[in-house]
Amino acid sequence: MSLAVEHLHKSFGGLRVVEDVTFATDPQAITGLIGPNGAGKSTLFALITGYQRPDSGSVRFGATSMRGLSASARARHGVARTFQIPRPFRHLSVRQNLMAAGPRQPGEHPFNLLFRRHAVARRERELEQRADAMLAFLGLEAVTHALSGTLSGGQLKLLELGRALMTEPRYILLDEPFAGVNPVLIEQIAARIRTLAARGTGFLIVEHNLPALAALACHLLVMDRGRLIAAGSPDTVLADRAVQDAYIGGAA
Amino acid sequence: MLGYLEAVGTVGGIYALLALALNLQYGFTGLINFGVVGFFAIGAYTSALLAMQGGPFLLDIAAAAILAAIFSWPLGLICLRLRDDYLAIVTLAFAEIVRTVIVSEEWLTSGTRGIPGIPRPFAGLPAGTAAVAYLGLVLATVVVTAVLMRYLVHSPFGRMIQAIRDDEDAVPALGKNPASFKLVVFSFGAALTGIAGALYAHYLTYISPDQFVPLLTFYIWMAVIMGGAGRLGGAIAGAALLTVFLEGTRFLRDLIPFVSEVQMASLRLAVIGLLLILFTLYCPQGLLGRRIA
Amino acid sequence: MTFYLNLAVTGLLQGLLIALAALAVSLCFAVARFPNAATGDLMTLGAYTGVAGQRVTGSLIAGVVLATAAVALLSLASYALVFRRLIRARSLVAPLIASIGFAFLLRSVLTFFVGFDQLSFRLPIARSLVFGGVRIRPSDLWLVAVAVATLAAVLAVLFLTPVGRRMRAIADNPELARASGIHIRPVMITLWTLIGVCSAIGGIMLGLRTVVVPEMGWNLLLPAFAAAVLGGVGNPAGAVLAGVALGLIEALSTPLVGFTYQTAIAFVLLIATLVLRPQGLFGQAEPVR
Repeated sequence: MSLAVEHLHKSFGGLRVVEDVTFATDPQAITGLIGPNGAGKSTLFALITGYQRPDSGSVRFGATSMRGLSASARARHGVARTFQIPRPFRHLSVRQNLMAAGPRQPGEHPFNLLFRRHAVARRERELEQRADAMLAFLGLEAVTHALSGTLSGGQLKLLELGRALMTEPRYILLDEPFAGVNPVLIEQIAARIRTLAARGTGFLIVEHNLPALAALACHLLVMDRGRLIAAGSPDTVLADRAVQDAYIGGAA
Repeated sequence: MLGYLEAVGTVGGIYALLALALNLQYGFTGLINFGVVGFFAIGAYTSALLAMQGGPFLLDIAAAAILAAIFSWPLGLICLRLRDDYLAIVTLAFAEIVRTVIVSEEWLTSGTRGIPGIPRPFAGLPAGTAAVAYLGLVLATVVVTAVLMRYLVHSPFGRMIQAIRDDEDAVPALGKNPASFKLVVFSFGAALTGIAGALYAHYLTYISPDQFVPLLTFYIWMAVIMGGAGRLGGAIAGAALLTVFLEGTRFLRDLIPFVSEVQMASLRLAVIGLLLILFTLYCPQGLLGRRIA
Repeated sequence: MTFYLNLAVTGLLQGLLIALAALAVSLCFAVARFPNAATGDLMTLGAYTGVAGQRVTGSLIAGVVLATAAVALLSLASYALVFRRLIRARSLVAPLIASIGFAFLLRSVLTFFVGFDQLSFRLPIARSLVFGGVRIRPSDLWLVAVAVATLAAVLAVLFLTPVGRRMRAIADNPELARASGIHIRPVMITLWTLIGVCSAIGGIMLGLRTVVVPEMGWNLLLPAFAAAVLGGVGNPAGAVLAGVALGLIEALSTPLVGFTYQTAIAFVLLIATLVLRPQGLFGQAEPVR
């Protein structure tokens, strides 16, 4: 699925946090988004996923405008996201966290718990299998039944990713997916992202780990102080003087 | 002695029902319902008034549940899409309004005079057996409710409400809307609270507005917090502790004669206040709960 | 016409009273981020201390000063002993429940020693002043003056002093404020003192206008919360305006609705606000879920 953002604006009080941001990504494209802290990347994510309403501008996924759609509606449309600081359901186990993300579980409606018990049980088994496969892929089998509130930072990042993948998305916005994750696993995750992208899932990835991102993304966007200051292939963008200036003092 | 134990058991069972309902709302879903006594009163008065008109017992109970749920619905629709504390304030206010209406609309509720002579089921049986039968009824209701809760909590629905409790803002990113889940839980809990009210009215056979004060709401909160919010056994354990506490202070009065009735009531209130403070500070997970760092 | 003017006078007094309570609630809402249910019983304690102070010293003013000091200290104690450890970014249940507990504790200690009897302040007997059919008691004029002065003083601290500026910064964005190194302690001491002062004056005012009973403050909680929400969460000045408005509306609608249902008006307004404009008349919209 493709993403098109046009003239997105957002201010808080007098501060312009996102200013006239316009870009489009192709389906099957992995797009990276970089910029120094405070550039507005998280706010941009919030605007695209429906967690904040823009002052003006539009967001389109595929041919569908997201105008007026709530965050959950956008997610049902196939737009998944992770959070920069992981938000696990702390008192649920790791596996339950993943299963909570699974769509189309009739058992989430009390009516079906009474009258469609077979369908509910069947979907539970499917979700269990998918969750177990996800746990294996992420290397989290050891903590399958552990309460997610007891996980380490890196494990929580992986759980965030796993939860987003469980929603069967057509577009995924990842917020620093590699932070705190070991290099071998980063490569495995990157491989998985490439596979999914080849099958048509779009990706927009915020990362400070530039080498990993540059190897993964075919297209890079750079934000600084709310504006998009550069866009293009990783080599071009990273060689751009303005980008280097903006990044002095930021993570590299 | 037996009669006393039956009484304590019956009232304790009713507290357990209230605690189970609040535990579902707050312990498992994170809803701050400060209006427990309001739905309790609606259930009690609905059931009592219908019974006085000759309505059969089961119909009275059902009506109590339905009416409590109906009143909870608009409150839920308005508040559950907003911040958590708005529900707290609105439900607290709602309970007060319910009480005000009960006191003022004398044509319906007999105001402060109350409603005496509410028919009890099992009236045909000899007195001793009837009391045991009623105790059995209440305890059976508690058991059925507890089993139902267990099933609900372990279901996909239960998974979602706990997710909402743990991090409501992360739920929309999964394509699910917290508000509809919260509304179902709120109304179901209200219906259950209404049933408890009906059982209470038919047990005491006399109800009046004085019995439906905010303090009761916070008795139940104390039970849920002490027992362990979000733990299946917590509500029942908490209700048991609450019953022991309330009965215990009654005995204490007999042991310490120089403390007046008023002072004993003050001491009770002080202990409740202190327990609420101490538990939130030092034992927020309750006696049965697990603490996550 | 004079009937309604008299009602308006009553409404203004009632409104100033609600405004004092609403200001205390709103300050806590804005800076400490939780609804403080102990505000009502702090007011009750203020009234009782005021009565005691007047009985002991013979002077009403001494009673007021004593009450204000006592309640301010209690308010600070509640922060130091209880709320300081409970105020956290995302959870407001803990301090909310603890505030209920603190309210119960205050009330029960009071009734244990003083009982449930009704007390009252000793007011000099004076003729009402009459302005074209509108009756105003001289004590009411003093009440208006004291209430307005208190409200003005608290708002002045909030908007005109450095510590008030820091308080507003914390209210707007706690993480940013903490990161920028604002010293929390002096702000918190000021905050809880102001909450105590508003509660004390409000309680005394309520006691002067009616009688002093243990439930008096708790009964004012609903209008206070309604005004705080109506004025906009995080907007203390808005809460004051909303409080005055609420008092006027309650009084002027008495002929329609009857005396017993006055609190219902606060409830209806609260619900209407939450349906139509949840951020209140003067508040800022919260981010979309």
